[in-house]
Amino acid sequence: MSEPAAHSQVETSTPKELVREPLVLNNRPLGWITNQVAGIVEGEMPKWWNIAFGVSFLLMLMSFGYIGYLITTGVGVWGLNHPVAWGWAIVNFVFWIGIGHAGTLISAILFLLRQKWRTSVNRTAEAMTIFAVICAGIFPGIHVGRIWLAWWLFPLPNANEIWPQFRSPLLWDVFAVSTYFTVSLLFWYMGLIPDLATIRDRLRKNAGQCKTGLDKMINKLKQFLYGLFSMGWIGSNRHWRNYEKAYLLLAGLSTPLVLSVHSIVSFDFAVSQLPGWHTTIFPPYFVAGAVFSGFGMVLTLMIPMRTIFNLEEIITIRHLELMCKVIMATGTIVGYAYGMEFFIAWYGGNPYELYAFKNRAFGPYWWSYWIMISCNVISPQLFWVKRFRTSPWFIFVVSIFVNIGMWFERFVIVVTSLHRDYLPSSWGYYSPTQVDILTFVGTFGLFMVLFLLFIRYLPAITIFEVKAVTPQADPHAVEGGADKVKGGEH
Amino acid sequence: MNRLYSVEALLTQTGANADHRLRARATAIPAAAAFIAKALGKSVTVPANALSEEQEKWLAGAAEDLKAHAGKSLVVAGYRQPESVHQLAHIINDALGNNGKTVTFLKAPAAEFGSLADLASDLGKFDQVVNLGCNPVYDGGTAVNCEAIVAKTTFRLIDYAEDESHSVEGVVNAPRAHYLESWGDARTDDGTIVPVQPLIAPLFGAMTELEVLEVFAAGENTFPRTGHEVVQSTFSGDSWERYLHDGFLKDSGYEEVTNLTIADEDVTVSPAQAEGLEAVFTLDYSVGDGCFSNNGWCQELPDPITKITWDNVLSVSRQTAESAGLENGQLATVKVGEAEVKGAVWVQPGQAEGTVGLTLGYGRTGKLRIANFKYEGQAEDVPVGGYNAYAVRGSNAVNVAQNVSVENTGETYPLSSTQEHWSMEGRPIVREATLKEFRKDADFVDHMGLGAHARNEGPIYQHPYKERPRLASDMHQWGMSIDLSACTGCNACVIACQSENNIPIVGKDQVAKGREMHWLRIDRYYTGRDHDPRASAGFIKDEGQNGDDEQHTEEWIDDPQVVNQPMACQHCENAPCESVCPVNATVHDEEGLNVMVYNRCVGTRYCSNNCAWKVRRFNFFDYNKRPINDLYGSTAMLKPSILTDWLTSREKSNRPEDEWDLVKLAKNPDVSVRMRGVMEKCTYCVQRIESTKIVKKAAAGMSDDVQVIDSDGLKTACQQVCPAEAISFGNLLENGSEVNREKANPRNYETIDFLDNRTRTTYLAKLRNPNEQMPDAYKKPFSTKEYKAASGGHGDEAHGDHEEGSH
Repeated sequence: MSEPAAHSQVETSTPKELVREPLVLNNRPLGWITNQVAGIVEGEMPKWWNIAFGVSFLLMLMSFGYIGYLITTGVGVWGLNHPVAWGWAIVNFVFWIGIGHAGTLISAILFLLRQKWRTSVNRTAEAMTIFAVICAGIFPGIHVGRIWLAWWLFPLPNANEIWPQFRSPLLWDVFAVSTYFTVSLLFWYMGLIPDLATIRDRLRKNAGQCKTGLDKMINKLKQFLYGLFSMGWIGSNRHWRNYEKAYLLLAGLSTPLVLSVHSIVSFDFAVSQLPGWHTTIFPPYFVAGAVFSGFGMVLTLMIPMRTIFNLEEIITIRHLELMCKVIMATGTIVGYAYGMEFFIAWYGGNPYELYAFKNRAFGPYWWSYWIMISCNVISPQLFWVKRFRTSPWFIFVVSIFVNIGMWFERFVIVVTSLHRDYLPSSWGYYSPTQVDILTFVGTFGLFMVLFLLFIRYLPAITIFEVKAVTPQADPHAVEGGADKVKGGEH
Repeated sequence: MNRLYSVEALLTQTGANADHRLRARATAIPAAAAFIAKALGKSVTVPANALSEEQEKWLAGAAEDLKAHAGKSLVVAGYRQPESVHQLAHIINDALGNNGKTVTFLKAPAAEFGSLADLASDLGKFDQVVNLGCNPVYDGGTAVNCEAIVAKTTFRLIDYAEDESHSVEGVVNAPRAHYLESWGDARTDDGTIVPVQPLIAPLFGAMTELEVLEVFAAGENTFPRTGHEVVQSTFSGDSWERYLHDGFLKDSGYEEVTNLTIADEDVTVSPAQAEGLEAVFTLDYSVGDGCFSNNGWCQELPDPITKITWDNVLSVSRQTAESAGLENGQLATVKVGEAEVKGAVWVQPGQAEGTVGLTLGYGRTGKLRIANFKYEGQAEDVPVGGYNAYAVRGSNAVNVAQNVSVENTGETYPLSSTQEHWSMEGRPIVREATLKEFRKDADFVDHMGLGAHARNEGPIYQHPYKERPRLASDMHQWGMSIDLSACTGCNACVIACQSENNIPIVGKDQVAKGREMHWLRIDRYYTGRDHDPRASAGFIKDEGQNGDDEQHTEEWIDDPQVVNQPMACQHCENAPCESVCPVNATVHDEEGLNVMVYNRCVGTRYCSNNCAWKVRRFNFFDYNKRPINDLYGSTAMLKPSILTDWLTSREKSNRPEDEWDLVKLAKNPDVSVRMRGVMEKCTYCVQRIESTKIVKKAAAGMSDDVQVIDSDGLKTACQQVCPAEAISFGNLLENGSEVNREKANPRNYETIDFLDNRTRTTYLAKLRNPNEQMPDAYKKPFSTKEYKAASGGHGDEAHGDHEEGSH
C-alpha cells in the first residue's frame, strides 16, 4: 500500500524500506470482499458453468463406464504386459497425488511460515487437493487384479488372523494416502466454517427478497444446510480462540504429512530392486516434484477463475508471481534430481543402473524423457524473466506444460524402468489401450465436476482470512500499520 | 569333452549348439561333404566353384581334426540331405575307421509302399480310396492333384473335425483316435517292438488305424475284435504278460550289418546353385508337418530359434534380405517354378546367404479351431496361422528347391515373438568359457559380474533363515541346478511344465502383448564376434517405434553364437517378491520354496515388477475360463441372466457347454487352476514334492525315515523330460544328492548374484570346445568377449583374466 503522506515525517528515524505490493488491490473495504466472494455462491451461475459441468459429468461417466468394463473383464483391457506390470494406472495415481500437494502446502506450511499471501489461494488449493486425492485414490483401487478383494489391504481383524504385509510399500501407501486425505478434508472443512456461517447469515438477510414460494423454500433449505455445516458458528471470541488453536494444530499436523505422503509414494519405487526405481534420492525428489505439479495445477485453475469471477483484485498478479517463483524453485530442484540420477548411475558403476538411465534418454521411450525435460526443467526457467511471471496468459501456458511434464515424469519412472530391466530376454514394449487413455481422461471429468460444484456452492476464497490481511483489519492502519519494520501487513 | 562341427544353411538347434559352425547354401553341402571326403584321401570329385576359399579353409581344418580323431569321431548327414551326402557321410566314417566303432548299421526292411504320385497316376484303375488319417489336399505338395484322390475316397479317418481334405461329399468320416487312446505296437529306431498301451478310453468313440483295418479284415458278418485283442493275438501264453511287463519284445530289433561299403565312384555330387535364391523346406519344431497344428500347446510353444509362436516365417539372412529388398515382418511372395505362396519375412541370424527357409505345418485352411484361431477384433484381411509351404513344394524338390524368387509385397504381417531382444548386452547372465580357459581357471564364473566386485561385507538385511532358524525345516531344503553345457534349448521342459501345471494358452494377440503364461521359458541369446553391445544396446538409431526394430540390420548377427538358458522362478531365499506383496500372497515355506497363495493374491503385480528375472506370470484375463477368442467381450458378463447363470453354474462363464468336460479332462487334478487377476509362477512342482513326502511317510511306518532323498524318485516335470538331463533337483540337506553334487561343481553360479537374492536355482556355466587350428577359432566365447567390452574401463582383456584373489 502507498504510505499516507501525513505520516512521512514521523518515520525519519526508521530505516527506509521497500514497500511491498498490497495483497488486496485498490484499498477495497472489507464488505466489498465479502460481497465479491459470497456473491459467486449466491448469484446465478453463468451459462458456461452449466456447459462445463455437463461436459465434465459426461467425461466422468465415461470413466466410470470403462472402470465397469475393466472390473467385469480383467486388467488385460489395459495395455499391461510382462515385464511392464504397472502402467498408466500407477502413473495417474502418482500424478494426481502429486497435484494434491499444493493445497496442504499452501494452507499448512505457508501458514506456519506466516506467508500472508496464501490467504486468497488456500481455499481453492485445498479443495483441489481433496479432489485430486479422490481421483488418485481410484487408481490403486481399480488396478489390482481382483478388485473385489482390494479390502484385504486394510488391516481388518479376521478369523484367519491374516494381516496385511507390513513390509510392503503399497500398504504404507494405504495408510499415507488415507491419512493425508482425512487430515486435508478436516483442515479444509474447518477453515470453511466461519465462511459458511457468513453465507448462512447473508441468506437469512436476503430471505425477504425472495419472490416466489419456491425461492423461499430453497432459501430455507440453504439456510438449513449452511447452518448445519457451520456448526452454530456465531463468531464469538471463544469461537475464534478455539478456531485459531485448532487451525494451528491441524497446520502443524498437516505439515509433516505434506512431506510424508509423497515420500511414501516414492517408496513404492525406491524400496524395489529395479534399476531406475531403486534410488535413495526419490523421497525429496518426489516431494519437490509434487509441490511443483501442485502449484502448476493451482495456477491452471486460478488464472481462469480470477478473470471469470472478477477476483483480480484479491488474487493479484503478485500472487501469481509468488507461485511462479515456487514453481521455478521446485522445477530447478527436480532438474537437479534428474541430473543427479544420471550422475549416480554413472558414478555408482553399476552397469544395469547406467543402462536404465541411458535407456530413458535414448531408448524406445526417448520422446517421453525429452518431453519431461522440456516441460519440467526448461519451461519453468522462463520465470527468471519478470515479464513472463507477471503475465497471466504466459503463466497459464507454462502451468499446463508443468502438468504435462509431471505426468510424463511418472510415466518415465514407471514404464521405462520396467520395460527393460535385468534380463534382456524379457525386455518388451508397453502401449496404452483406449481403455487406459479414456479412463484417465475421464478422471479429469470427475475432478472438474467436483471443482465446479465447489465453486458453485462454497466460497472459493477464504473471506475472513483475506480481510485479515487488508490494512483495514489492522487497528493501527490509520497510523501506518502496527509494526512496519517487521512488515505489518505481510 | 566332445567337439561339434556343423555345416548348414538354416540355423538349426544342432548348429546353435555347435562349437564350430559353417554357413553354407543347401546345395553347397554335398560339395562340402565331398571336400572332406577328398581331404581324407577319397577319390571323389568336388564340384568346381561350389565352395568359397574361406569355406574350403574351414572344411580343411575340420577334416584335419577328424583325421586326428579317427575311430573316435562321427559324421552324420541331416535328414534333409540328398542321397549323395548320406553316401559321403558313410565314406568319410569308413575312411576314419569309425564304422563298427561309433557307427553300427542295422538292416531295416525296405519300405513296401508306393508314393502319392503313384496313387495319382493309377487313379483310373480303382474306384475307392480308404484314407487312414492322411490329409493330402493340405500336405500333398504341388506335383499331384490331391483333390482327385480325395474325390475317390469312400472312407476316411480324420484327426480334426474338418481339415482341408474334408470337403468331399459321400465320404464316411470317422474320428481318429490318438495312439494313446488305444492299443497298438510300434518299432523303435533300432527295430525293437514295443507295445502301445492306452492311457484313456477313446473320447468321442474314436478308432485307431488298427481297429479300422480289423473291421475291413473281419469282413461283413464277423464282429471285429478290439485293438487290445488284435495286439494280444500275436502273442501266446505268458509272452504277452512278459511283453507288457518289460515294455518291449526281446531280440526283436533289426539285424546288424557289417562290411557295408560304398565305392567312391558310385557317388555323384550335383553342382551347387551358384547364384540366386534357393529354398529349404523344414519341419516345424513344434507342429511338425502340420499334424500338431491344431494343438494349442504346440502353437504357443516358441520356436527354439526364432522364438515365434503361432506362425511360420520365411527366414532369410540379413544380407539376402537387404539385396532382395525384404523387410523384417513384411509379407513376401515366394515363387518356386509356377507355384507361389505369401509369407512373413524374418531376418534370421546365422542363416546362409541366398537361402530362404520355409517351415512346413502352417497355413491351414480347414475349419480348425486352433490352427486357424482368429483373435478378437482381428480384421478380416489380416491373415493368420502362417503360410502353407506345401503349396510350393514339389515332389522332386522336397527338401531343397532351386531357382526361387522372393518379392516384397509391401504388406506387413504381425508376428508374435516371446523374446524381442536378441543380444545379452554383455551382461554375465549366461556365463561361458572355452574348455581351455576352464582348465586354466576352473572358478571363472566367480570372476564375472558385479558379485565378483562386491566387498562382501554381508547383507544389509539378515537372511530370514539365519534370523529365525526355527523357520527352516531341517528335513528338506529344495534346490535346482541347470547345466547350460547340457541344455540344447529343445523346449521339452516348457511343454512338460505347461502340461503338469495347468498353464493356459493365451492366443497370438496376447503373446504379442507379452502375456504368455509359460512358467518356464528358454531364453535364447545371440552373441557376436567382436560385437560391442554398447554400440547398439537397443537404442533408437533412425526411426522406428521400438529399439528392437533395428537389431536385424546389424552386422554382428551374421555368424552368431547361440546360448540358451531355461528360466523359471529362481526360488530366492531373500525373495524380492515377498517383501513387496501387501497381502502376504507370496511367502516362503519352511523348505525353501517361494510359494504363491493364489487365494490370497489380489493382483497388485508388484511382485512381478520387483522380480529381476521376470518369471512371474499374471492372469490378465480369465484365460482358463474363457475361450481365447472371447477374452475381451464383457457382454457375457453384462447379460441380464448373469446372476442366475452364476448361481447355477458359476464356473461355466461363456464357454460352450460341451467344452467343459474336455477342459476339465485336460487339467492336472493335483494343481489349482488359477482365475483372472492372480499371479502365478514356478512352484518347483510342489504337488510332486508333497505326494512324494506322503508316500515316504506312509512307507516309513513307525520309523523316522521320512526324509525325501534322490532315490525316492522325486523329479520336477521339467527335469523328468529333459533328454540331456540338464536339470537336477533335490534335497539340499541330503549329503551327496545329485543337486548338491552339481552345485559343488566350480561352474556353478547364480544369475544376477550381486542383488543377494540367494537363488535356489543355480546354473552351471556353458563350456565350448573350439579348435585353435580352425580359421574361425576363438579364444573366448563371444558372450565373454561382449561382457568384457561392455564392462570396459577395466582394461578389456585383463578383466576377468587376472589371478584368483585379486578381488
